[in-house]
Order: sequence, then structure tokens, then C-alpha cells
Amino acid sequence: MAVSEKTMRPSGILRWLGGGRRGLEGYLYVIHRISGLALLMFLMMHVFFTGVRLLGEEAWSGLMEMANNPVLHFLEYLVYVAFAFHAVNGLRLIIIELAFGIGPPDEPVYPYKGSIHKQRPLMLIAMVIVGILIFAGGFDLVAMGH
Amino acid sequence: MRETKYWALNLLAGLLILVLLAQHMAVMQLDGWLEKWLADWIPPLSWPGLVERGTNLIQMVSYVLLLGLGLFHGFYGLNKILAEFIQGDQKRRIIRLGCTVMGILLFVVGTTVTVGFYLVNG
Repeated sequence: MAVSEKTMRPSGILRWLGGGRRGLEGYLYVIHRISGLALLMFLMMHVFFTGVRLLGEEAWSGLMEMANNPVLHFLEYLVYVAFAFHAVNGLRLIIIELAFGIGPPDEPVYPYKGSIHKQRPLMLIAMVIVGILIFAGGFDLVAMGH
Repeated sequence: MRETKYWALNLLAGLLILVLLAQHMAVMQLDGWLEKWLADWIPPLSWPGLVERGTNLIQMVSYVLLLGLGLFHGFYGLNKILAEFIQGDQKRRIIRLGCTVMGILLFVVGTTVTVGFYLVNG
């Protein structure tokens, strides 16, 4: 494993493998990036595939027939999962960026209460919302067959 | 200062995308639920569903807006991630230029399709 000589910690993209001192929030940071990159890749493909509609109804129906298989439905669901996570986690990050949800500043009395600790309830609420959205999408896919 | 401005724009774009994309994702991915609740539901990926959305002026404008915001937000993020791995100002400038050119190209293609479909079928 490639390590930084100064810190003896993994360098480059390998640092994404660990949450570091931030723990759970560190992993969310990594998943946020991965889901963002996945959504960007999907958007690039989406722009070209949806362009087929300019060729008319027959071309569009042919493409939809080709796309109507369980593997692509599942991949589409993964895009939805990435969106649900990236959107709700992104909203959480914006709320924190604007200094909401972290409480007022307080005296540094031992044992210190770090900012990560103060943000945790917001993170838990966000992840419950993500879970509900992922479940709703999964139910739509499996039970309703869409 | 310029970087702060881009960062603020990125956050604003994220919030706007949240609203626009949530609507789009609900129509596309939660269609089973919507079919139960809406009486005049048209499957979103069928040709009539496509024409219904694609020829609605508000919907067309929101798609173009969503595309622009999504590409800006996405390529801004990609540029930031790549900049962490690449040393040297010149290389970073090339990456930034590449991201900008890709974003503009995709915006032109996507807007041509969206507006073209609106004009042809509307």
C-alpha cells in the first residue's frame, strides 16, 4: 500500500478507504464523493441516450425495449440510491456549512465535546431519511415492478 | 475571492438541483407509487409520457436549468477531486479547462435535444 513518508498514512485515493479521525462522518464524506462521481457519469450517458427521442417514436420505443431488462432496472435503482444519499447528505453538509445544527460555541471544558459529536444527531436524522427513500425506491422496484 | 464565489455558486446549485432533481426522480423512480395516487397517470418512459413532459414549456425550461446546474455542480466537484491528486498549477489549469469544455459541450448537446424536442413536437 502506498503511504505518505511524512505521516505513514495511506496517500492519494487510498486515503478514501478509511474514515480517519472523523469516524462515521469520514466514511460519509467518501461515499458522498463516490456517489457524486457516479451521478456525473450517469448524467453524461443520460444526455446522449435521451437524445434518441429526437429520432422519433420508433427509435425511442426500440431503445426502451432494449433497456427493459432486470439488470438495467437494478442499475437505474442504484442511480436513485446514489441520488437519495448525495442529496440528503449534501443538504446536511450545507446546513453545517452555514453553521446550523452544530449548536452555539461553548467553553472548552474537559472532556471536550468535538464538533463531530455535536453534528451527530443531524447526521442520524439524515441517514434515517436516506434509508426511508432507498426503501421506498426498492419497494417500487421489487413489489410494484417498476 | 473568485474561488469563494464558485464555492457559493456550487452550494446554491446543489440546493436548486435538490428541488428539480427530486421532482424528476420521483416521476422516474417512484412511478409505481404515483400510479396508485394519480388518476390520469401516464408511464414516464412511454412516448406519450415523453411528449407530455417534453412539450410543456415549464418542464422544458426546468430540464435545461437542471442540466446546466447539474453539469456545473458535477464538473466543479470532479475538478476539485482531481486537483487533490495532481501536482502543479499548469496541470491543474489543464484539468480545469478540460472540465469546463466537457461541461459546455454536454450542455450544448443536452439543450439542443431538449429544445429541439419541444419545438418539433410542441
